[in-house]
Amino acid sequence: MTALATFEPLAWLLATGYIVLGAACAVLLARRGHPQGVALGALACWPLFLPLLATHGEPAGAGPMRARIAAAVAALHEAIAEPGVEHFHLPDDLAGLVSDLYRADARLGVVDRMLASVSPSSAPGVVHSTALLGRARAAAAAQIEAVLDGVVQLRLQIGLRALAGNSVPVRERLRDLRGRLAAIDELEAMDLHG
Amino acid sequence: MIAASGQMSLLQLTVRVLRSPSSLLDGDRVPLAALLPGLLALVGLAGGLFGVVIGSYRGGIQHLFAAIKLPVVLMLPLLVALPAIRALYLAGGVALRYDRLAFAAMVGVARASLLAAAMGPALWLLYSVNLDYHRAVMTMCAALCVAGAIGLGTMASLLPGGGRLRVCAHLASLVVAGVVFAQGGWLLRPFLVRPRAEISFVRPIEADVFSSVGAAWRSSRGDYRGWEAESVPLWDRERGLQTEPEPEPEPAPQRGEDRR
Repeated sequence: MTALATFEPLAWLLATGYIVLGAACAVLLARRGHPQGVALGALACWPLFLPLLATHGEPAGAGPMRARIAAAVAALHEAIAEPGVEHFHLPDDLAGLVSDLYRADARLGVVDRMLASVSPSSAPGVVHSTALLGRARAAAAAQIEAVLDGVVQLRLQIGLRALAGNSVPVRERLRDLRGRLAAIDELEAMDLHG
Repeated sequence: MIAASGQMSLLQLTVRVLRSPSSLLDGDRVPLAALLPGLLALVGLAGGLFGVVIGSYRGGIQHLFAAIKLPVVLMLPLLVALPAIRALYLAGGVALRYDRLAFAAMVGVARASLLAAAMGPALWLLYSVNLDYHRAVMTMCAALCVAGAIGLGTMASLLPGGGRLRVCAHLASLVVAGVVFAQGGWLLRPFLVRPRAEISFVRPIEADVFSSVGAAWRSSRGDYRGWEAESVPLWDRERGLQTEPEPEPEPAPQRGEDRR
C-alpha cells in the first residue's frame, strides 16, 4: 500500500517561499550571463549560489587567456581591498575594460579552434591564409599580454599610493589600456587576402 | 559523457573530488560557477544510488522515494545552516568568505555522497540476507556516519587556515549541521520501511528526532513507553496535545522484525 504525502499549510508556505526565491535567484543569474546549469541549480539550491549574484558570467567560448585575465582582475580587486587604500574606488571603466579583455580572448579562442581544425595542406592559398591568420593571432595575443601587464602596473601604482600617498591617474591608465584593446578590433578588419 | 562544467566531465570531477579536492581551487579563487552544477549533479546521482540501496530493504516504490529523498537530506544542512556556520567561523577568528564556505561544504557533501554510494553494494548484500529491521537501520546510520565524517574532514581541509578558536568553530559547526541533518532526516522519513508497514513518501509531522532518540534510549533499558509519538502541529501545540492517537494493533512480526 502506498499513502499519499500530506503536508501542513506552513510547509506549503515555506516551500512556496523557497521556490519563489529560487526562481528570482535563477532569473538574476541568467541575466548576468551565467550558464543555464548555474541558473537551474540555483532554482533548487539558491542559498549556495548567492555569492554568484555579485559576479558576471564568463562569456561563452572563452579563450586561452581567460584564467590569466581572471587572476589579474582578481588581484587588482584584492589590491583595492588592502588596508591603506580602502577609500580608493575603481572607476566603472574597469568593468568595460574587463569585458573587452574577455571578448578579445574569446576571439583568440575562435582563431585557435579554426587553426586547429584546418587540416595540413600544401595548397598555396591555404598556406598563405593560415600564415596570415597565425600572424594576426600573435598580434592580438601580444596586445592582450600588454594590457595584462598594464593591469599589473596599475596594481603596483595603487600599492605606491598606499605607501607614499601619491595620486594615481587610474582613469588615464584605463583609457590607455582600452586603446590597446581597440587595436585588436583594427586587426579584425585586416583583409586576410591583403 | 555528461559535461559537469565547461571543461570537466562528471567523471573527471568525481576523480578530483575523491583524489584531490583541493586541486579544484584556482589559487585563492573559487570557481563556484564552473563547479557547483557538477557537484550538485554528483550529490544527486550518488545520493540517489545510496537511496535506491536503502529503499531496496522494503522494495517497490520505496526504491524511488528513498532515491529522491536521500540527496535532499544530504543537501539540507548546506541549504539551511550555511550562514550560521559562516557566522561561527567568523566568531572563531577564521576569515571565511561565503563563496569559499559554499565550495568547501559542497565538495564535502559530494565526497560523502560518493563514499556512501561506494558502500551501497555491501549494504545491498546485507539487506538481501534477511537482516533485522533495527540492525538494518543501524547499518544505514553507520554507513552515513563514516561517509559524513570523511565529508566533514574534507570540508574542514578546504577552509582557509588561521583563527584562534578554529577548533571550537569546527565543533560548533558539526553540532549545527548534525542537528539539521538529523531533524531533516526525521522529517523526510521513512527511508527503510518495515516489511509490513504502509509505504508513504513522508509521514505526518510528529514530535522530533530528539524525542525519538529518547524513546530509543529508554527502550534499550527495557522501558517501552513513548514509542507512539503524539501528533504535534507546528503552530498549534495545544491542539496537537488534545488529539491523542488511537493505539494501533501491533503487526505480526515478519522478515526478522523485532518480536518485542
